[in-house]
Amino acid sequence: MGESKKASDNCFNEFDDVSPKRKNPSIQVLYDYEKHYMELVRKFSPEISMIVGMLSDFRNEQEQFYKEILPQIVDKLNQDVGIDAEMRNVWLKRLTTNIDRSFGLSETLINDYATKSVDEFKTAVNEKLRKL
Amino acid sequence: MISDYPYLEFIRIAKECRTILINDTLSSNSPDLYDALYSNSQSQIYQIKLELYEIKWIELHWKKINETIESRDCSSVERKELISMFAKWYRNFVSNWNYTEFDAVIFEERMNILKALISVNSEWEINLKRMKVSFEQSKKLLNEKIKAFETEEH
Repeated sequence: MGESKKASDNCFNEFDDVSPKRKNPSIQVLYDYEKHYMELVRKFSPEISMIVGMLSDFRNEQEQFYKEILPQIVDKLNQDVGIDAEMRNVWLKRLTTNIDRSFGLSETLINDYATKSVDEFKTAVNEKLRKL
Repeated sequence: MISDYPYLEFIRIAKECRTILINDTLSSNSPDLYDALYSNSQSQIYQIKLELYEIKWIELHWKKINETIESRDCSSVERKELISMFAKWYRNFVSNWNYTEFDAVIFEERMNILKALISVNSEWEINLKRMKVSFEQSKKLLNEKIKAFETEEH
């Protein structure tokens, strides 16, 4: 009975895709996991910094547009006697709509880029974990 | 693996086009825009003139995308993949403008061409040319409308 149980264990273990090490992680396995994870974070740090930088630049540009550039545009259009008040309002509305749509495009692109980088990071982590 | 290139290039292009839009207004750089702004706000003509200016600005994004793809040394497979990615983002962007009044038919056709470009089919070169023609059609149509209105007014 004892021998047959042992034989059956061996039989199933052969097809088991979870290694015994991962079933019962030892301190060494956890250490290896942390070590590889940190190595990957270090490897991906240029991408992480880049995304943070892109988002920061994007927010600064949005803020600059509404705080500085738009008032300049309003002044410029107000000073131009050839442009009547209604036309000025029409264009200001269309201009801000166009700029907002363009900001929306940039935001989508940055988000898609961040998602792609996160997916690549997850794939790299999973590949490392599979080897542990 | 998809490279960072299409993401970073389109982010750059979008920013460049925003700067152009701002400078056109601030520095009176664009005759098309100021022709519209100096029009009579009671007349319908200003709407067409503004639409013409905006069509050119929207097209500028596509021109810059084409330039960046043309300047990149890459295989045919990568080129198709790049066109598909750019077309997907660009289609979403363009769909914000729905010119139902003057440009509806051409607008729909343009959206369909972009859809075909996204699907990475074998006719991408023809579809790129069709995109160029579609913008030419829009500009021609709007210029004709402007002329017609101007003739009516005089």
